[in-house]
Amino acid sequence: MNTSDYEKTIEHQFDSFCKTVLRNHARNIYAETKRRNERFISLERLTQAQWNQLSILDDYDSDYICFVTHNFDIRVEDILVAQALESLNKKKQDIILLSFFLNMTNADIATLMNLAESTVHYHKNNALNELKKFMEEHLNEN
Amino acid sequence: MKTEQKILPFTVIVLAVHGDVNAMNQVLKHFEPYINKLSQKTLFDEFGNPYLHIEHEIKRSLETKLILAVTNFELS
Repeated sequence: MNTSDYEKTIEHQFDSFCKTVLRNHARNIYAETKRRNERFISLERLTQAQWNQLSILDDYDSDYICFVTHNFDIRVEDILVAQALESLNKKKQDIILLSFFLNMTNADIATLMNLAESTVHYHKNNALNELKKFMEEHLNEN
Repeated sequence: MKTEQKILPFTVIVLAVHGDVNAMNQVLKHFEPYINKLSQKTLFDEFGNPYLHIEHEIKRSLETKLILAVTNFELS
């Protein structure tokens, strides 16, 4: 094989090599575009459930009724629940807030409020009954 | 465009493989018609008439790929 033959071979090899590279890469790009287009949907065609996953609503302090107990701020959204809580005395209100809104155990509340655990339990039961009564009475008003 | 079915000369290939800028430009120039063809898309205007459109994103990507591939070409 003389030099010029060798050069010719390389020239042709290079030519076809480049074309193959380009062709394959173009194919990859087309496939990629196609894959993306299949997953592409218009925002308008999302269902409500999908919307909710993707969006958040602003929430403002004014939408809530705030209770303060032992340096915790507790925000209550439901107006009826808030009213019912208002109707309780301070101690019962605290116990309810701490146990149901902050998920504290009776023992934790007892240490925090300096009470016996049974007292907490007793007040809690009472408070729940009062709440139930209050809410049943006022349910029809709203 | 079809008439120039020339092939790149050996010296240019060797230079391009070793990273010479001018030679690389020549290579890109040589394959530009092919790259254009690969990055073409048929789009439709508002009257439904088809027209060819070159996707520059695809074109750039192909060019980059070609440059990388050329530097890896083995001169055996």
